Amino acid sequence: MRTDPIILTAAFGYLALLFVVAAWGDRRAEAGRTVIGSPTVYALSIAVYCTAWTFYGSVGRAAERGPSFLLIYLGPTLAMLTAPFLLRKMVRIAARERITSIADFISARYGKSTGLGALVALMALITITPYIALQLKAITVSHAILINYPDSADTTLTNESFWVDKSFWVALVLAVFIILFGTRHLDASERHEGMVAAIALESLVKLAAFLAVGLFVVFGLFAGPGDLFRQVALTPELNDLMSLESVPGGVTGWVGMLVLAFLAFITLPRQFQVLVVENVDERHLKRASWLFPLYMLLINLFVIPITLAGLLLGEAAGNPDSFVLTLPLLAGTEALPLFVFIGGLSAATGMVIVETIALSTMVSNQLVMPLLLRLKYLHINYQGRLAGWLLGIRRISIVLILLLGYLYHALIGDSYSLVTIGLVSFAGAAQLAPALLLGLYWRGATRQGATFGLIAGFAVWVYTLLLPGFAQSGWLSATLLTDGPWGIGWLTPYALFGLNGWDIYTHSLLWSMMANVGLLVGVSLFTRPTTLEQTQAALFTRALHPNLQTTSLWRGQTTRGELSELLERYLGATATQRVFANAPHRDDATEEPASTELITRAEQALAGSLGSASARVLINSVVRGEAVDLASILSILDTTSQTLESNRELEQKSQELARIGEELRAANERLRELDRLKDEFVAMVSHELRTPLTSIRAFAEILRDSDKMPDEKRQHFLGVIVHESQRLSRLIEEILDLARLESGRLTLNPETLDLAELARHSVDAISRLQENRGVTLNVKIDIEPAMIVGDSDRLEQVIINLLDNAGKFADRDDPQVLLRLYAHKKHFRLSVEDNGPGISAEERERVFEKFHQIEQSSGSATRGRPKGSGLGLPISRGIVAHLGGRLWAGEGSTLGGACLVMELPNAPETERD
Amino acid sequence: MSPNHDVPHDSHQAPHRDSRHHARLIALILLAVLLFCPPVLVVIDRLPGVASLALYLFGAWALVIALGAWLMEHSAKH
Repeated sequence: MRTDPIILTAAFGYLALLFVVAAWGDRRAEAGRTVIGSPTVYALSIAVYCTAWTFYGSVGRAAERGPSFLLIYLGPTLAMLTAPFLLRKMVRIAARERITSIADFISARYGKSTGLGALVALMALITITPYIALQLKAITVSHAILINYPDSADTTLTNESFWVDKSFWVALVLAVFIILFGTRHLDASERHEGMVAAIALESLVKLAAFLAVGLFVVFGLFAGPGDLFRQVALTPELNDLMSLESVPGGVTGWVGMLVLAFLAFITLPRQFQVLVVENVDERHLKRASWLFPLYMLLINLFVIPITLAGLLLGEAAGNPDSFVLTLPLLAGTEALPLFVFIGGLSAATGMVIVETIALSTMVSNQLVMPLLLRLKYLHINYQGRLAGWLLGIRRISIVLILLLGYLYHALIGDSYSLVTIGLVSFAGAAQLAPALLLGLYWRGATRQGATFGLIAGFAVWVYTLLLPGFAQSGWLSATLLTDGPWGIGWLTPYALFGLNGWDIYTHSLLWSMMANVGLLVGVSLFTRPTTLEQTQAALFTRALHPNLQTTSLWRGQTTRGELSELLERYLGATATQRVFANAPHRDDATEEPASTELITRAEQALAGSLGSASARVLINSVVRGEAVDLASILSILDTTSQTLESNRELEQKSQELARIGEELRAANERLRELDRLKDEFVAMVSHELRTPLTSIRAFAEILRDSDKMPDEKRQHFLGVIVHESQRLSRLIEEILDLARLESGRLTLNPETLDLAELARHSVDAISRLQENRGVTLNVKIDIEPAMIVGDSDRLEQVIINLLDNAGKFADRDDPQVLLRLYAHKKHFRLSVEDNGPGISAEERERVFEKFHQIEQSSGSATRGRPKGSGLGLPISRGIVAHLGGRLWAGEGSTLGGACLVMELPNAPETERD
Repeated sequence: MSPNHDVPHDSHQAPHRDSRHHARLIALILLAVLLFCPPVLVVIDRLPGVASLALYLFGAWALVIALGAWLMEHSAKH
């Protein structure tokens, strides 16, 4: 299986598959059915972070430096956890400003500075090209191992011509791939859908390959993890490998590497490309923020078992950097090594593809384009053709970057510097972090500050990491590392100012960050930013402000004609039509002034293709006037926040008003009801007074007019008159009571008294009347004495009233009334119950209304029972309430009829006896 | 008749929930930093066992991912 044709077919077949997938992705995108509109695909594309350096190098690093390899993945895990704050902000800004790369981002933040953009692009190029070389080398080496095993894979490229080297051809195929799928649109801020789809697939392939080899080693070469670790425990030299002791620089090295990985993850051009530029939807960050760390966890799961297994097997396994490949080869498997090779190939190609796109965009937009724009004759002579030029520049730079990477690999591929370039690149990329992160949160960071910081940080990085690497490769005198330059000891690159014993990366990070952040902050504090810088700073730091999205920031003036001419010259006719598509116009509208939205859209379109700095230069060339200045931006931000605040206040106030209105309405309702009740009351009273009065008058008239009336009859009539007068005066007395009660002028004489005694007294008073009616009156007093505070006359009036009522409404044939007195908590209750029809639940409160008569009662009244005035219960309730008690109608429990309960509080202890 | 301040108004609840979510996320980041940093690591490193530190790191990592997934997906529903 390990013959060249098979391997080559597999490798190039795999690359062909990538073309198919990418073409399919682009086709789907054109049809409007995007494949990358899923958070899972987004997370997988971020996994381009795991390169061949991860695939082969993790095991090598674990063999040498223990668990420190994990830091490369723990840092990004932390970074992904900040997604809802930091990454979301970056994505939001990039979408609004049509950012095309990290160089563009930093340039846009610091006033769309051309110089800063070029500086960042240059730094990225220097840092990343060796990293691309490392990927190509991984392809060459893994191929050599696959072919030559078990012979040594020490094929030096110098012995071979480049056309024999497979990685040259791979690089060539990749160049075609990137040109096809990476430069489809002029607008680099648009998504490369096909490419992202291919990258996501590559991430799956490398994960599957690594898991396959891991499972094979643990369960194929050994009998599961238990067996493996038992054997490791028996090997003393392996026991301490996975402890902190093997971590270079110890605890400091650990923290330094964690910080380094965190910063590099955000600033590596390829990560910025997939995380920010290729992000389709801000919400995808949510899923990716845990799915991508999970991916890293899985791909690292078997690193330690593979490392330990390889070291246990000793010499036969070869170099730890290639354990992933040699262990399956050692076991004599055929298909697995090929699969692993494809996995490594996918890790390498994925990285090369994304990194090259990111770099070529930077080169064309930040380095070449600004230079071209300075050449005046281009503006005049090459109208309409610049769009094609731009794509051409980008394609050429793709080929050049890959070629540069390949040359680096071919010429100095075996030197020390290439092996360590992974982390060296990390440290170089991390130099962009201060300008990026401080720029996102500190409005005071200025262009000069960022420039000085970047240059200083980069210089320290070159001195403490890059040059020593060259020295170790033998291109510089090795005494540089031991004695320092010109024998100055404190300038030794790995122990600057005598800082010994640190891990070289942490050492470099410390000094470079001190220089970088120090100058960025220091210079910023003493320089004055331009208006545009201030504007951009405000836009970046307040990027998540809710109303900023919709604000149009141009204030200058130009005509539609000029604007469309500019766009056509640089972007071509189709792109121009797209920009103007949403702005309705007549054909002859070229002289009409362009709206601010149109100018903003035009600048965004230019920025998406040329980078923000060039776009600003071009827009300035046709637009008279300035972009909105800082003061206006701040006032926009402040007014919007003020508006939000006052909106909320208004809302609160109006709710309050609504509630008050409701209360007023209810009060008015109640007043009307009371008014109605008053009218009713007056009508009732008049009616009630007239009835006895009428009969008195009628009888009195009879007596006056008929002299010859027998004495007996006269006596009877007089009796009626007296009776009705009594009734009348009783009624008036009751009305007066009620009026006093309601006006609060009722005078009571509270004294401590025994309710039981009072109840007996009342029963005695009424027993005669009840006997006449044939009512059986039962008295049941549970507690005696029942001391309360009250007015004995009034209470007696109440009890008599209750008993009288009960007698009236008791059963007609066998009337029974029961009076009970019992204690309830700290109160005494006196209940009067009858065996009549009872009071329905809804009537129970209404019986306490003035002049209310229960329906049935009218029936009873006609049967000869005395009709009440309808004032007894309201008066009783008023009296009881005045004494601090309650009176209500409840459910009769013993006799089954109505039950009225009076509750009064106990007299306080001191007032007893 | 005075406005009732005890009952939060509807429009106040969304940012409130949002800030709680953010607070939880920040707490998770701090937890992750704590778990991945030396004071805890040194303690774990002294435990016996061939790969106790590595096992711990993977365990802590998985925990952080699980908590992160729970927080993010939980908030996605709102």
